[in-house]
Amino acid sequence: MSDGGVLLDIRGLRVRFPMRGRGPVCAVNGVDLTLRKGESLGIVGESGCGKSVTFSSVMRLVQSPPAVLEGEILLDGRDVMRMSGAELRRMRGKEIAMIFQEPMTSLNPVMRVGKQIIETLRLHESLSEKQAEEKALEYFQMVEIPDARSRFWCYPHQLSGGLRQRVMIAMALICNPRVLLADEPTTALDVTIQAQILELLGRLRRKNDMSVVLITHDLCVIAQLAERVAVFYAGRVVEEASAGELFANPMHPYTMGLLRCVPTMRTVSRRLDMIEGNIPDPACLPAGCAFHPRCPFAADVCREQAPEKRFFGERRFAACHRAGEVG
Amino acid sequence: MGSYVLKRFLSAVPTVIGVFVVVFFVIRMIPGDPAVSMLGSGATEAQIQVYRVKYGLDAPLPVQFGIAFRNFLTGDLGDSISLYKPVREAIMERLPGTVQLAGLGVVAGGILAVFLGVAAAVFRGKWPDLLLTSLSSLGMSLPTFYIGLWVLMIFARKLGVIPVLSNARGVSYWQSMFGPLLTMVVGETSLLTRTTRSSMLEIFNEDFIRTARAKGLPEKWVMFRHALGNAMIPIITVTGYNLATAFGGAIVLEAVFTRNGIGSLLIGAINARDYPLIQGAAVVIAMLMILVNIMTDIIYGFADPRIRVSGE
Repeated sequence: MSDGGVLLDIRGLRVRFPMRGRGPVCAVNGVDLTLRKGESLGIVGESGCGKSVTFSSVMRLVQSPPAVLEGEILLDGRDVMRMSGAELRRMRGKEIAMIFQEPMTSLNPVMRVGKQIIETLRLHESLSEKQAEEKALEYFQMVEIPDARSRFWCYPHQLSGGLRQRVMIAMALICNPRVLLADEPTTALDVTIQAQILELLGRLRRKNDMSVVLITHDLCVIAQLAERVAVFYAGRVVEEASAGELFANPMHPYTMGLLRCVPTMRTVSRRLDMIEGNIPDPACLPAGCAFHPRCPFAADVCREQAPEKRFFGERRFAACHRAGEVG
Repeated sequence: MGSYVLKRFLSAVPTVIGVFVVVFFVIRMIPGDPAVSMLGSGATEAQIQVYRVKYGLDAPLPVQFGIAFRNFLTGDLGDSISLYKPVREAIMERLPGTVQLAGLGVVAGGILAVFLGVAAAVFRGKWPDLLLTSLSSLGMSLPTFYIGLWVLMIFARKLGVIPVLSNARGVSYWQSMFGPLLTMVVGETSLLTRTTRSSMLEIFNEDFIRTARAKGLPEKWVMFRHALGNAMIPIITVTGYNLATAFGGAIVLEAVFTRNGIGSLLIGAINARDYPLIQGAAVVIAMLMILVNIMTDIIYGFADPRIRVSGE
C-alpha cells in the first residue's frame, strides 16, 4: 500500500503558544513526518503531547497569531505554511479533510446534517443543489447510515453519536480528499461502535486510495488501522516504525511503557503496568531527553543531552540514547 | 405548534385581567377628579355632580368596576371623558404611529446591532471592538429622554432637518419618524450589540466552528452562517425585550418629540384624569407586550430546532 510517493511532508515543525507573564508553551518541538500516498499512519501519545496541534497545524486551524509556527508542511511540494487564505480554503476539505473527536459537538446544531454536507460539496465542486443532494445522499449510504434518506434531513441532536460520526466521515470524504486526518475519531464512542467506525474507515481508505492519519491515545485503535506508527512525546516524535515492528519490538522506553499499559487477555492475574509520573509541562520541558524523569533506563547522558534519532532501518528510528541497548 | 400557541394565548388571559384590575384601582388612587379637571376650578358643586352622574362616576367603586369589567370582557373600553369619543376609536387612531415606530426601530436597530456585534466579536480586543463596546456602554447608560434631547438639539436646532414638534402641520412622515427612530435605535443597538458580541464569542470556541473552517468555508460564511446562526437565542431574547419596552418607552419618546401615539395619548389621559382612556391605553400597551413575548417564544423554535422539538 505504502509504496507511493511522499504526499505530505512535515519538516521541523515547531508550534509555540506565547503566554502572558511566563514562558511560551512549546506544544510541538521539531516534528518531522512523512505520509506517503495511500498510507495509513497512526499517531499515538498521551494527551498534551502535541499530536493534535501538529495536525491542526497541517490544516492551519491553529490560530496564528497568537501561536507561532515554524518549519515546513509540504503537500505535494507546496508549503501549507505559505499558502494564501484562498489557497488554504481550496485545500481544506478538498485535498485534506479532517474528522474530530467529538461527534456530539462537531456538527452545527441548528443546521440539518444533509445541508452541512451539501454546503461542503458545493463549495469545492460546481454542482447544482439537486446534484449535490444526490451525491451527498450517496455518501450517506456509503458510510452505512441506515435509512439514509430520512436521516439526511435530521438535525444533529436527532442522531446518535455513532451516526453523527458517520455523518462527519461522509462530510470529510465527499470531495474525495487525498488525505484524511482523523483526530481521535472513536474516543467518544462506545466500543462496539468504535470497531464499526474503524472498520468503515479502513474500507473507505482502500476504496478511495486515500492516505489516513489516525491520531489516538489508544494503541488498540492503532493496531486495527495503521500500517506505520509514530509515537509522540512532549511535542516530538520519539519512535517511528511499521505497526508490526513497533508492537513486536519497541525501541524507545516510552513505547515499551505504553505497550505494557495495554491490558491483554493474559493480564487478569496481575496489576496493570503504568508509566510513573506525568507528561512534562510544555511550558518548562526538562533538560536533555524530555522523557528522562520517567524513564527506568535513564543514564547521565539522558539528563544532559537531547537524544538524536537512531535509525534501525529506512523508516525505523527511536530518539533515545539507549535505544538498542535496553528492552 | 398550533396547540402550543393556543396555550400561550390562553395563559395570557389572566395576565390581561390582572392588568385591568390593577390599573382600574391604581388610577383611582391618584389625587384629582375627572369632573374637576374637565370642568375647571370655576365649576360649581352642582355642575360637578351632574357631570359625575353623566359618566357614572357617582356610583360606588365596586359597581363602577363591575360595569367597566363587564364592558371590557365584551370588548367595549367605554367612552373617553376628555376626547368625547369611544376609547377604542381614540386608541385605534394613535396605535399605528406607535407600532410603526417601535417596529421600525427594532428592525433597524436589530440589523445594525447584529452587524456591529459580529464586527466587535471578530475584532475582539482590537480598536473596532474597543470603540464599539465603549460606545455601547455610553448608549446604555444614557436615558432615552436625554438622547432624545440631543437628537433634537443636533437635528432640529443645529441642522434644521427635522421639526422640533413632530405633530406640527406640514411635517412629512419620515421627518416626524426620524428623531424618535434615531433615539430608539441608539438605545436598542447599544444593548443588542453587546449581547451579539458576547454570544458570538461563546460560539467561536465551539467544535463545529472548527469543523466549518476545516471544510474550507470562507471566514465570512463561518461567521454569519455557522456562528451567528447559533448565537441567535440571546439576540432574539434581547430583540423581544427591546420591542416590548419600545411600547412602554413610547411614553417618553412621544413626549420628547411631541409625537402622536399611544404613549402621548396615555400621558394626556393621565393629566385629564380620563379614567376610561387611561384604562384602555394601559391595557393595550400591556397586551402588546404580552404579544411580543409570545412571538419571541415562537421565534426561538425557528432559530433552534432543539427548542422546537422539546416544545412539542
